[in-house]
Amino acid sequence: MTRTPNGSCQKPGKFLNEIESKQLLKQAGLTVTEPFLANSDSEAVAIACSLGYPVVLKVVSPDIIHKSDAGCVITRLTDPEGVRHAYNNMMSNLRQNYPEVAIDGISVQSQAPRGVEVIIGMIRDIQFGPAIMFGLGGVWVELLKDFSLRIAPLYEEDASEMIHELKGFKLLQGYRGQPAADTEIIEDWLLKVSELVMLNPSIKELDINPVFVYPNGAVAVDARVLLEDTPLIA
Amino acid sequence: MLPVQPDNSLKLLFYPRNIAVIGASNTVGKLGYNVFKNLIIHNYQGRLYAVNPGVEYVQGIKAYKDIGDIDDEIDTAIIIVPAKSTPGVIKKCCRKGVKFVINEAAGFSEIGQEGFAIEQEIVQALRNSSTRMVGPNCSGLINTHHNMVQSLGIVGLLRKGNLGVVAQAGVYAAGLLWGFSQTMEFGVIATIGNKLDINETDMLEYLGTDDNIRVISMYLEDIKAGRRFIDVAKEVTCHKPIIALKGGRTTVGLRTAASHTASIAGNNDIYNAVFRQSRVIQAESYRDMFNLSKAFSKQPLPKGPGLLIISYTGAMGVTSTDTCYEKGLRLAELSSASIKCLSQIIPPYVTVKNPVDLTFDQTPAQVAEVINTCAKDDDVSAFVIILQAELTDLYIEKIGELSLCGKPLLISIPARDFVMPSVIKLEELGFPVYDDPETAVHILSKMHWFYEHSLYSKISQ
Repeated sequence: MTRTPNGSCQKPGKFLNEIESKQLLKQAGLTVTEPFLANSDSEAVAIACSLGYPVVLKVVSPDIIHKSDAGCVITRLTDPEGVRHAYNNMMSNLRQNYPEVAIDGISVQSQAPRGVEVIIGMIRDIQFGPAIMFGLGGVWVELLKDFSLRIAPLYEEDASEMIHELKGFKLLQGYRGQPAADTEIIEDWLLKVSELVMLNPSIKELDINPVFVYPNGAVAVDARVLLEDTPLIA
Repeated sequence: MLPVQPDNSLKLLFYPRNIAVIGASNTVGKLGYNVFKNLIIHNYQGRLYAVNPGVEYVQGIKAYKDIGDIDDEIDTAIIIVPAKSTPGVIKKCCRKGVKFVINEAAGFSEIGQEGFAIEQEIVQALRNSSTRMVGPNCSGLINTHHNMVQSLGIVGLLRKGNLGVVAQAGVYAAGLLWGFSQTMEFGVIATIGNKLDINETDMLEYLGTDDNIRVISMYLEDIKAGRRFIDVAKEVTCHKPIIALKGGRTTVGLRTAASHTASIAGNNDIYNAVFRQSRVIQAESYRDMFNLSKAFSKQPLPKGPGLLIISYTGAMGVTSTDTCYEKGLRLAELSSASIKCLSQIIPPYVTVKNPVDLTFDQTPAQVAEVINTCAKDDDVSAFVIILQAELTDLYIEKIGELSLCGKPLLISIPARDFVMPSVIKLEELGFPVYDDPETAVHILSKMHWFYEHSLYSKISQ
């Protein structure tokens, strides 16, 4: 068993859930929309009220990889009634469609305003070690394979090149009247992720997807970390 | 007497003071014959020893029964014995204190489990000794600056050159060499085989320090040193260009895609990242690798994107212009002073523009004048000239006298294969000759990429 930074225990080679993954990123210096676990509809409403609306509800489960495909993400909830309704809907959907899946609960988090969507990821290569990936979110990276890759540890010039060599770089510069995205913060995050994975050989793979980038700053909206069975030291 | 280097340097591997060949043979056609013959005919200057228990002399040189019998401190021992005998021979070399073993035997992990077991025995033998090993399954080293050829195949005379080749495959030190040495000058060719001890990155790091070598080309199927390769290559590319051909690019990796990132980034993407990150110029094929190597070793780098194309045919000017823009270069914009000069040189029925189309009336004197004039133009950073194959000989003299002001010139001769004797004369003048002009432009685009992206231009110039 591996002890993760926020104290919960995790089976070897398992995914950290979203709450744990974001804890790790927060400690590494990234800004995240912090999810809080609710165990009942009224807990969900209480968390939502303290966070302020709008909020997002997501299932917290190490077993569900594509949460939105599975109907396990409900966004833009603007009042207590909406939160209560969404919570109960999601629970009955899960019981009906995924009776075998382990559920830690349902998380409530602030709904981040939309920014330019990007993805930051990491895989470990057998020969070269950790490789950091950067791409534009959604179809850009999935269908058009528009991403850049560098072997960690990254230097500043590597991070800068990773951003500039994307075919869709213009989208970050402010395409068609959109404000330019904060590429400095992306550079900074790429370097921080590089440092995080260099210090933690137990992080086997990492997805921060999506990240919303704003004219000033950025926020990690969802994240998943896959661990090996060696201890974390972050 | 050669300078003695610190023990940890590979200098002595490339400049050994003596060589013992274990398995040297008198039988024509045997590999042990070829290796010994190569050392003799290339006039290796150090002391040469043959080890063969069955004979008194090998090719006129006294033979020893055992490496241990030689009363000398051995720098290099080349091993050409059956694979299963190599662990025993290597143990003897370790006991003798041989500095470098070149294991040219084959039949190791490349053939399967049995060979893999022999390799493990060799690793054990080397572990507790100061002896280092190249190979197995390699074709030794060539260093023309040390008159040393260790190849398994007989190699003809080689000129001394500034190109260093590191290759996982032996063919680069023999089979391919005969042809390429007609138009290229090699300094070092290091074949590394299965890289059981000394790997690609060790070789690269050494060649980075060898003053005889100005350009390094690598044929790689994997990179044993991992991240260290990036750090070493990035350092070396501050001083010397590195060209790499990666074999096995389409091999499917064993990685399972648990995350989004893993499903997107494949094995080939990793290698592309490695080469980009370390400023290594990636070759697309073995031909591309030698095309690039030749230009980098013979010509200066273009310091800007502006290209001047001189052609006797409009059509080739058009297609090479396309390649130029596709590959990130552009046509140079000639200054009014250049245009004025050119209008004196070229026929009145031709408009002065880039590409300069001198039509079928093109003469060597015109081409030379255009080049000498435009070499002074600030926006011209490189030249491509397209010549008519059957007229190549007429151009040799003028091309030898050009004033290029430190700017590169590559030559395209469509159908050049049919006029190779003339092509070789141009190559000997230091001008790479390609068949199609698109290749010449492609090569210049890579040279320009290197100039822009490496620290070479900031440090070495």
